[in-house]
Amino acid sequence: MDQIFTSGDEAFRREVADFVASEYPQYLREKTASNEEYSREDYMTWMRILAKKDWLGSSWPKEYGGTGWTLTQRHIFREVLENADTIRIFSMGVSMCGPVIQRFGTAEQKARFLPPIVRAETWWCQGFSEPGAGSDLASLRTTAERFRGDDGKDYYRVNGQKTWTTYAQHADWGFFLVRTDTMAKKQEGISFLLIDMKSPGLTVRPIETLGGDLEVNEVWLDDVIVPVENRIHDENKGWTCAKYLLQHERSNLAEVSRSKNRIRKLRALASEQRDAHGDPLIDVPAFRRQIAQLEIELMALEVSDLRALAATTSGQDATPLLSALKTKGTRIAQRAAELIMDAAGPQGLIDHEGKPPSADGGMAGPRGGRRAADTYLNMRKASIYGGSNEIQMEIIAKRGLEL
Amino acid sequence: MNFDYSDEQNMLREALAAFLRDRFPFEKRRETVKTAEGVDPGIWQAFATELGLLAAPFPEAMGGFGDGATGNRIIMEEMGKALSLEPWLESIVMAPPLLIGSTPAADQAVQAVIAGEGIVIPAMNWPVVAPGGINALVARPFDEGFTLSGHVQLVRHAARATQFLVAADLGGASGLALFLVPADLPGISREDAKLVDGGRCADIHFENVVVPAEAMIARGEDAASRVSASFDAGVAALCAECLGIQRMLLQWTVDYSKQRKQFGKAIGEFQALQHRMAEMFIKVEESFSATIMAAASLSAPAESRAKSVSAAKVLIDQASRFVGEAAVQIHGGMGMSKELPVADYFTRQIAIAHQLGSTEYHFQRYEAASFAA
Repeated sequence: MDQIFTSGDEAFRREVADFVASEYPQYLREKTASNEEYSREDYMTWMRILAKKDWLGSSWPKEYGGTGWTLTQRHIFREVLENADTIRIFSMGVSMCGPVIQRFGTAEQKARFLPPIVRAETWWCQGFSEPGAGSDLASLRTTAERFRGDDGKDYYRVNGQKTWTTYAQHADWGFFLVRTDTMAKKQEGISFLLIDMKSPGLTVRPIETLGGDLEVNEVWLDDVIVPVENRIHDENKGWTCAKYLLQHERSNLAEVSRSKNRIRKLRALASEQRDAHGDPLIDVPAFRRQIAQLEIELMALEVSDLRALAATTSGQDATPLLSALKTKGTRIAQRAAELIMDAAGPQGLIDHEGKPPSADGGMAGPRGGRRAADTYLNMRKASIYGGSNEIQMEIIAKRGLEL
Repeated sequence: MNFDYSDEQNMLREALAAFLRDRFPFEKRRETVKTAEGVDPGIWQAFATELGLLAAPFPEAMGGFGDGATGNRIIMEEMGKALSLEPWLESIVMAPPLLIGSTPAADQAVQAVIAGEGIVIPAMNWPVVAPGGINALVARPFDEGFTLSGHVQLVRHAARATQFLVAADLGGASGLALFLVPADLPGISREDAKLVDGGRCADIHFENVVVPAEAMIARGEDAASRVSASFDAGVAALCAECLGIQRMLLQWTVDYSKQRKQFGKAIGEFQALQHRMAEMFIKVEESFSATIMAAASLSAPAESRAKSVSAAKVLIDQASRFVGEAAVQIHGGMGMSKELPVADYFTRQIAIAHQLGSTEYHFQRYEAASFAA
């Protein structure tokens, strides 16, 4: 392996870049440049554009309406989008639930749920974590009790509470882990259910987080009735689905392109900002060295990311490497947000209270530094979600080193 | 995109690993470094004849196997695992980019290297910065040729060289030139020394060494670009060696932690140590990726090559410091003793951090490439 990308890859890269350049909405560019919060419609707008091009299912096989791209193409696609600083494809349907349905779903389930996901018609959220089940996910307590309805069909009655449910307020559907056998060992009594978020008895309550964002929610389930046909895989086989899904989730957590993008912003901001002597911050050796350190770590992370993708695709067990990737990737992402906050200075502390900051300079300072503190605070989540970094260390110790 | 080795590459790697386990086990290394020469010439001879290894990275047109940078990466990683004392880095990785295609004599020298008949050691004060700097010899016209004068420091494997490759300043606007000279020419003297990692080196003094005009194999831009290609290939290979060392240190540390008992249980059951070893794992994986990146960049244009290679060296030096220190720490008192190989492997890592440019040098070189206006 002397070269990572071929000339065919470069042609594909240009094709994607041309598409983004001509089709990405200008209003979203403006929002991004000022670090404004995005609405549901912002996310959906871009996903619909991609869906129309048949590119939303970038990681899906063709038979399900995906692109059927190679892992290299998928990597390039993600990289080009991130380089162009596009709003992220926030689709737990595409990245998480879809692959589980493809792997474990019935023909009917595939026909019913997959097309609306890949056409950007439904928004999905993930109902896994509970107040008493965070990193120790298998200790979850939400129950699903099976019963025969008056119509003669089988249903589950779901009761419990989920938490940290990202964008539940936007979601049409949720994929939930629920306990269908309370007597079994903890991993063995869990099932994977698809639940309509408009179901009676289901309540979503937002949780305001560090940085002031409203991304995550509590979801209360009070006698929520779910048809048995909405269960993916066999009863009590939900943990198998979850493990499959979490592996997909972890493989995206390196966030290489996003960190590259953050560093690009950091450099632009550090070129605009001056230190107390009036020198551009980026020319201050100590600050520059910190950027260099981060860039160097990111270069290696990118190769690790490609290695993990290649290993996963060829069916190798890359679990310890994925854990290393998640840990390292989130450290880098957090560090980038921290350096942007440092470069932004006091103006990065202004609370815009949900109002878009004005596009010109003024008291808000350079656009690249807006809400820098909010972003830094928000990014603390990265070492907690997706299996906290301490859990990743446990996985490496157990699975990688057999300790 | 494929990170797996080909069948041939796997065979190469297994053959070398088996050979080193058999003929150069750790006890053998301990004995060898204590001898006066610090080397067992039989190993290199076996590389040439028994294994046919010396041809591996060279293009098929030159009689090689065409494994290129990946071949060198594989071989250097195995050399690292065995803490080899052979001049692979110097004679197989770094000399050829300076020699190939320059003059017929230089190409003959490469053929002699492949055949195991010659060892060509680049005798330069790395990093070679620029003509007029402190790092080059001085070449003065003499008769039909030149005289070379100056001093090169701490050249590894100098005593084994059949020929030296030196960089000399031609003076004025003429710039840098490369000379290929027999190691035993009159006027060349060596002051030998042993390094902490057991390797042998020498300061080499050139006092009006008379060489013919044909000894000059490259000059000006050509010489400078050959020097930077050689340097980058060398750094990339050194990274692979260091990766091999890290892998052994991690493996031994994990094994030791499972077997060493304190307070009634294996120390590897303590979470503080598990997480430290998990962190070592992360660093080793990072180093592996950096090594792949460095080797892959060798076919790229000079500037991006320099950037990738120097980034890799910075990261690997940092990772090695962490992995080595943690290995010693977790081995406890045994880590301090010379009874285990941990001591020797850690020491070699320390030496690598000062070989072919310090961590600080590579940071600056990275920054020069990355922050260019």
